[in-house]
Amino acid sequence: MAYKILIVDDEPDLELLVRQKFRRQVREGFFELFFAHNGKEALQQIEQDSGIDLVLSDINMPVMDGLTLLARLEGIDRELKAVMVSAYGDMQNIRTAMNRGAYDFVTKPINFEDLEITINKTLHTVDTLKQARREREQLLSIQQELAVASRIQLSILPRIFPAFPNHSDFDLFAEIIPAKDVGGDFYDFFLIDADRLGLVIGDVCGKGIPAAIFMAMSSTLLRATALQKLSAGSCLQYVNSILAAQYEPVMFVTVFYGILNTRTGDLEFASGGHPPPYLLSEGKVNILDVKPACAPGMVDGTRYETCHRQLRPRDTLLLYTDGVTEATDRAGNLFSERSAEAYLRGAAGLSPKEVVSGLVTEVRKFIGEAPQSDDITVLAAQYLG
Amino acid sequence: MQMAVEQLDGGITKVSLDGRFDIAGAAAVDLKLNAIAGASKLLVIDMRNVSFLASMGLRTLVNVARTVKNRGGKLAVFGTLEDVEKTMLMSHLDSMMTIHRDIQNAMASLQ
Repeated sequence: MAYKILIVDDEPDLELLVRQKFRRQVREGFFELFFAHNGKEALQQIEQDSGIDLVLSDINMPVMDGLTLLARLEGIDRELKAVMVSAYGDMQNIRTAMNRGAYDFVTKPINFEDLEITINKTLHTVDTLKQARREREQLLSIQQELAVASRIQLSILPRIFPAFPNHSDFDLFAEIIPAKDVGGDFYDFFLIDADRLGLVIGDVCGKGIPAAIFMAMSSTLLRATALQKLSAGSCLQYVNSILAAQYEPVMFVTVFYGILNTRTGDLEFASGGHPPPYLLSEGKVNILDVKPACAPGMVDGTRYETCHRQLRPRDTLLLYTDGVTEATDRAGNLFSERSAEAYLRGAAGLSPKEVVSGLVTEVRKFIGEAPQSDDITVLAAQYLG
Repeated sequence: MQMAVEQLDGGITKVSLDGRFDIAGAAAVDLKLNAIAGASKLLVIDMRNVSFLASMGLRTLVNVARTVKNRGGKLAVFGTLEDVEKTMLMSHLDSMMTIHRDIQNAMASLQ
């Protein structure tokens, strides 16, 4: 496509001269030339034709001079550059023109060889700016898509609390603070039957769209499998057999799956590569003893053992992702298990909602002004007996 | 993250990693490391200077372990810092590679 060049000069002879000097470029479709006789006419042309790339303007003209034109061009949101033509030695006007955003200048009498070099150089800059704008727009649209993806992802998670208002045998609460990039954390809970509550927390490796897709797949697969009433270990085993069957490169999801019998207080659980949950019992903070196993998706054929733990009435199970313990402050310190445990020791007697909100607040306070690099997810479930 | 490669006696390839093995770190070494894994049956990874291991780092290690295993080779790592080793054990990576205190033990485990 031809570059559109607008020449602004009150001397009628200049049009002929320019047309003659650039006739080759015009014939070959490289330049398209437009002419105006003062700043006002130039502005009208620019308004009519959004494709003008370069304005070559005289300074002294009737109606509107070149310096006023420059000032008006600054308000136009477009990749357009101005080259000024001034009398030789008129340094004051040249300086004013440059300060008003002119890209370059040439002096009269015009040396057309020099003018051509100046025009080509200017057009190159215009191209670069246009390219930058296109890329910026693409980036914006990708960011918008990511924001939509992030909302869709969060909408998969159950977020209405109290989640089971008719149940007095347990209480639960969960919160996720997504990082700026789309992350891969999730939690889930569901009733498997009248007495059994499924509790899930997971963290997909990586970030961005791949993690988001894998997270949606894993969480849906896990819930669908869990509702088939499999044991905790068998459930993860099945999920792993599906996820690990993918081609390289591997994606995996660290996951803890617990089944709380809300009548007896028995907690059945299995874990794959996930930080072991805390059990808050009578003012003590215990780490639930999980059998280490590879995160589902890593290795086909991994065995996941089902473990049991008897909960006492008012015991609280606290699930979290490493976004909590690996939260980082400005100085690069990690929040760590130690801080989490210190908070939880002081949290005896609190409801799941209070414990979760309190811990999340602690982590946020710790991070302070530092950027949050990973999702922070906490789920607490209390057995009430 | 930086990586250096060295050929040792007995057909062993040593890869030394240096830095945070997080998303950026994994992106920096993933391809090269997998290419090395595809070309060497006996691989030791020096983890002494890996200060942090995140999930994408784990993913890279798993991919390397898989590649080596598929070719009938062996993978050993050594010198892991406490937190890094904890992360590896939590994900049961010790089922895919052996973890050692020093290079002598790591090399011996490959023989």
